[in-house]
Amino acid sequence: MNRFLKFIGFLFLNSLFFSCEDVIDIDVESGPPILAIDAWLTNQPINQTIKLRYSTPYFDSSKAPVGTGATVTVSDENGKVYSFVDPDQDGDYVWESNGTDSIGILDMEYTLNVIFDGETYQAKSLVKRVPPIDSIFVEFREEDLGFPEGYYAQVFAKDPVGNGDSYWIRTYKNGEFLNKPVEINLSYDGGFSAGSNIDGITFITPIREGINPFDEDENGDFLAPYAIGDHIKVEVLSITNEAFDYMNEVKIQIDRPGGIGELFASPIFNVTSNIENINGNNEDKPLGFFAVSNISIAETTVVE
Amino acid sequence: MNFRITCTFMLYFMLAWSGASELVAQENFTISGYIKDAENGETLIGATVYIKELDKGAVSNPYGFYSVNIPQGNYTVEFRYIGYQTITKNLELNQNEKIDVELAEEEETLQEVVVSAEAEDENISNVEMSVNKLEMKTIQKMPALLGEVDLIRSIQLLPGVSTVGEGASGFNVRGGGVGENLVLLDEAPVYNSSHLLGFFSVFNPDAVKDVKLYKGGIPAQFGGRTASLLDVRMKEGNNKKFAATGGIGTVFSRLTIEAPIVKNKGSFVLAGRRSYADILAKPFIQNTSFSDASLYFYDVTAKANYAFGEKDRVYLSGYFGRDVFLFDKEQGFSWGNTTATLRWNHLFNDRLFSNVTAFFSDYDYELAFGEDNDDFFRWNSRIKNYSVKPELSYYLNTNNLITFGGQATLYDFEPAETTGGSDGEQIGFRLDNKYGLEASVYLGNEQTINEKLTLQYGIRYSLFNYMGPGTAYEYETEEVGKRKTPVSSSTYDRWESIKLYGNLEPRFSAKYEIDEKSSMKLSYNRMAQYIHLISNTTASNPLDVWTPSTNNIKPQLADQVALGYFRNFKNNMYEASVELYYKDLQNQVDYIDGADLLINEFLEGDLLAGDGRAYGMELFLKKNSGKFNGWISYTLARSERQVEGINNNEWYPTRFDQLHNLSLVGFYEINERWSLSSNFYVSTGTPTTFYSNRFEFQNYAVPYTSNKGRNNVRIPTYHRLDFSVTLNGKKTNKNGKRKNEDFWVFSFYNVYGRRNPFSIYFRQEDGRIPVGDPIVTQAVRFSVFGSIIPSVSYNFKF
Repeated sequence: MNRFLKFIGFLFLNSLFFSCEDVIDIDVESGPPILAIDAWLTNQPINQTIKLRYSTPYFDSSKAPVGTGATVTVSDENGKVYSFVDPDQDGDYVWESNGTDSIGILDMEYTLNVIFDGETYQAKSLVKRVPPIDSIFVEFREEDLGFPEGYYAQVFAKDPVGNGDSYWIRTYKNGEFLNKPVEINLSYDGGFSAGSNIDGITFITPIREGINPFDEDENGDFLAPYAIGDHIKVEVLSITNEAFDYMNEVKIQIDRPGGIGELFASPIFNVTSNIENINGNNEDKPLGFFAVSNISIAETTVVE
Repeated sequence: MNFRITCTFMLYFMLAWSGASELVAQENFTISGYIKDAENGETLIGATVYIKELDKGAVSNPYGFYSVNIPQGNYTVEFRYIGYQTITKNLELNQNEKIDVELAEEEETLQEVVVSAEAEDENISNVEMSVNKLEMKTIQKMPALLGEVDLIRSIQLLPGVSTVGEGASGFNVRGGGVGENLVLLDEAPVYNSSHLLGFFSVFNPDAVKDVKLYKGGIPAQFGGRTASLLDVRMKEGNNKKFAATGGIGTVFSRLTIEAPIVKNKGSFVLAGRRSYADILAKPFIQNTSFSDASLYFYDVTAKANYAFGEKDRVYLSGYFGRDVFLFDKEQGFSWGNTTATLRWNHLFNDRLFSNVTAFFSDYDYELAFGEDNDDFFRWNSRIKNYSVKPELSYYLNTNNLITFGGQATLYDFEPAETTGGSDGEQIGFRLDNKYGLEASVYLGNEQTINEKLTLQYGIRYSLFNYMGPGTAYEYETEEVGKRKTPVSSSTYDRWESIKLYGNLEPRFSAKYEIDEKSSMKLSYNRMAQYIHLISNTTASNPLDVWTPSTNNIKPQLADQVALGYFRNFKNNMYEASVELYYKDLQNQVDYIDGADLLINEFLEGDLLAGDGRAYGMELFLKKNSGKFNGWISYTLARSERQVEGINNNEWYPTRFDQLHNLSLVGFYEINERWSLSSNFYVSTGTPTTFYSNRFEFQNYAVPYTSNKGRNNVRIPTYHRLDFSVTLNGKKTNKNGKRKNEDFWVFSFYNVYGRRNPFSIYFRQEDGRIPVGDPIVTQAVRFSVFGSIIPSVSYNFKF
C-alpha cells in the first residue's frame, strides 16, 4: 500500500499541492531501557544467532547496549536442547552448526528459554511449510509511469493449497540485505492478508515484484532496481501467522507513507512480542520476537 | 409495542395541550401560500410571515410554504427575508386566504445600510439552537483555496466545526468523527463529500441554494447520525427566464444553466463542473510514459420541478460526481457519489403540508492494477441505499406546528468484490454483501407557550434490522484490545433478521426570551447511528468502507445537552451567542492495533467499541450588515474516548480534539466594484502519538512508546491568514445597463506562507543504510501547504 501511496504522491499530488516535509528537532521523554530479544532462526545448517540488546531513546542512533551473561536455549518437543552461547560477551548468542545439523524440523514446536538478570523469558514457535522458489525472472523494461528503464526482477513461487500459510520474503542485492522498511515483503497465502481469502496461487504481482530495491535519487526520482551483473538472492521464509502479524506491525511502524500519503497514515502503536516473562512479572516483559522458519533460497545474476 | 403506546400518548397529549388555547377562540381562518424570490422564482427557505397585530408569525419551510391559522379580523401581514425588501399586506380576514408572495432583493447601495427596527432577530426568537446557516452569497465572498468556493471548507470556520487539517475529507462537529455527520443533498445522503481526497467538496456552489448545519437540538424529523446534520438544498431553477452562471477557476470550470419548463409552473437547473488540470498538462506529458495518465474530477447536478395544479409539486433531482485517477489506460482508481431524489409536495389542505421523498444513493469506488490478463487486480466496493420518507406538517394554529412522519431505508453494503489473476490463475472473490433496513417514525411539535417561551419537543423511534442473506460470525476475545477470532458462524436467508436494534430518541428544545434583545435556550437530544464509517487513518480516505450495525457492532448512541444565551445589539446589527454543550457517546467504533480494515471477511474481529465524551463552549459574534461585516467564532472544546485495550484503558483525546479554535472572518466593501475579504484561523494542534524509544530487530530500528499512550502529544498550533479581492465588472457599458454580470476573484491562501504541520511522523533517515551501520531515526514535519497560494477566478452570470 505504501509503495502505492508513494507512487500516487509522486505522480500528481505533491507537485499539485505545494506540500513540503522537513526534518525537525523535537523533545520526547524516553522510557527506561528494556531488554529486546531478536531470535529469528532458520532451518539452514549454519550458525544461528540470538541477539540480546537494550532499547534506546528514539533519537539515539548509537549502538544499543548489549545484554550479557544470559542463559539462552532453544528446545524442541522431544526435549532436544540447543544451547546458544556468548563467549565474547557481545550480546550475540550463537548456536554453532556442525554443517549438517539444523534447527527447524517441519511442524515441530520450538521453545525459546532465556534466563537473564533473575527473570526467565519464554516463547514458542511452530515451524511451518515453505514452497520452493520456482524461479527468479529478470526482464528489461522500458521507462513506464515514472519507473526508469532497466532490469526488473520477480520471484515466482506458489502457495500450497490450504489456508494460513504466511511468508517473509527477504532479498539480497550483491550480497547486501535489502533492509529498507518499504522493502519488507510479507505474504499471506500468496496475497497480502488473511482477510483477502485467497489460497493456493502463485504469489501475486506486488509480492513477486517486492524483491526489487526501492531507491530514489536526490530529486526523488526512482532508480532502476538492477543492472547487468547484479547478483540477486531471494529467501522465502515460512512464518507463523503470529510472526506475520508481528512483521506486519513492524512494517506499519517503520514504513511511513510520507508526503501526501501521510493523510492516510494509520495510528502508531507498540508491536506485540510473543516472548513472555514466566516468572509472572508483567512489569518486566521483553521486546522482540522468537520465530523458527523453514527457508527456500534461489539466486541469479542479471545477464543481458 | 410500547413504542406505539408512547406515540399515541404523545399525540393525545399534544393535541390536548395545544388544543386548550383554542377553546376560547372565535372562528379561525388560515393564511397560507409560498414565498419566492421575485427575480428567479426560487422558493425562499426560512422567510418570515409576521402578523403585526398578534405579534406572531411563521416561517416558510424548505419548500417555501407557510401557513398561519388566526382568528377572524383585520391584520397587517409582513413578509420578510434577510437581504430582501419586506412586503406588507393589509388584510381583512374572514375566509381562508392563499397568498403567494414574491420578494425582491434589496438594491445594493453604498450608503450605510439602514437597519430598521424590525430587522431580523431570528437567532433570538427562534427556538432552534446549535444551528448555523450560511448564505451562499457569503460563502462566495470568502477567500477560497485555489479560488474554488467551497461549502465544506467554509462551514469549518463556524463555531463547533473543525477539521484535522487541509486535505482531510469532511468535517468534525462538536467532537464527532467525519462519519458521524449526515450530509444531505436534497434529502439524499452523500457518503463522501470530497473531491480530490479532501481538498474540495462535491457541492457546486452555483447550484446550491441553502445550507443549514444542525449541531445540536436536532428536531425529531432528523436522525441516523450522532454528530450533526448538514442540510444542503439545491436551487430549483429559474422559472421566469433562462439564466446561466459559471466561471473559470484554477481547478474547476463551472457552468450552470436554468430555465422555466413552463413559466411559473416548472423549471430546471443543470450544473456541471470539471477540473481541467489534465487538459492543461496534456502537452507536457504527451511524449512521456505518462501520456495516458489522467486525473480529473467532475460533478453534475440536475434538478427539475413542476407544479401539477395548486396542491401538488414534484421535484426530481440528481447528483453525479466522480474522481478519476488513472496512471495509464487500465490502471488507477476512481470513486464517486450518485444520488437521485424524487419529491412530491402535496397540500391536503391549507394547514396540512406533506412531502414524500424517495431517493436512491450510491457511493462506490474501484481500483484496477495490472496491465495484462494474467496478472491484474480489480476491486469494487459500494454502499447503496433506497429510501422512502413521508413527512407531514400540520399547522394547527399560530402556537403549534406538528410534524410527523417516518422513513424506511434499505442498505446494501458491498465491502469488496475483487477479480484478479496471478500468473494466469484467477483469484477473484467477494466478501458477502451486508444488508440492513433502517426504519423510523417520529412525532414532534413546536409550541409557543407564550410570548417568551417556545418549546420544540418530539420523539423518534428508530429500528435497525441487520439481515440476510449472509453469514454472521461469533467472535471470541482472547485478549482485550487484540484481534478477536471467529469461533462460529451461521448463515441466514434473504430478509431473515440476524440482529434487531431499536432506540427511542427523545428530542427537546426550549427558548425563553428574556427581553427583545436576548434569550436563553436549552436542548437535549438523543441520536442513534446504525451505520459506521470504518476508518483509522489520520484523515478519512475514499477507500474507507461503511459497515452496518451487526450482531458484533452495536449502534452508536449520543446524548447531548446544550445551553445557550443569545443576544443581539444595535437593532440586530450584531448578534452574539454563547453555547455550552456536553455529549455522552456510547459504542464508539475504534480499532485494534494493526487493524486490517480493507477486504477483510473478519473485519468485526478488528473492531473495538468504547465510550466517548465531548464538551465545550462556543462563542459567536456576527456583524450582519454594513460595509464592513463578518464574524468571530471561538470554540473551547474537548473530545475524548475510552476504549478497553487502548491507552491503558484510560481516556484519551480523539484525533480531532482541539482545545482552542478561533476564526475571524471579515468582508469589506470598498465601492461598487471592489471588495475585500479575509479570514484568520488558529487552532490547537491535533493530538498524535510520538515514539519514545526504539530497539533493534532483524536490522530494523523498531520504535515504541514506553507509556503505551495514544494521542499523548500535540502537533504545533495551526494558524493561517487568507485574503481575497473581488472586482465586479462594470454595471454599465456604452449602451447603458449591462445585461450580464461578471466578477474576478483574486485569492491568496496562507498569506504569510506558514508551514502548518498536518502531522509529525517518525522514520528512519532516507537512503540506504548498509547492514550493521547505525540507523538514524528522525522526526519529520509534513505540511500540506508550505507557501502562499495565489489564484484567480473569473465568474459570470447572464
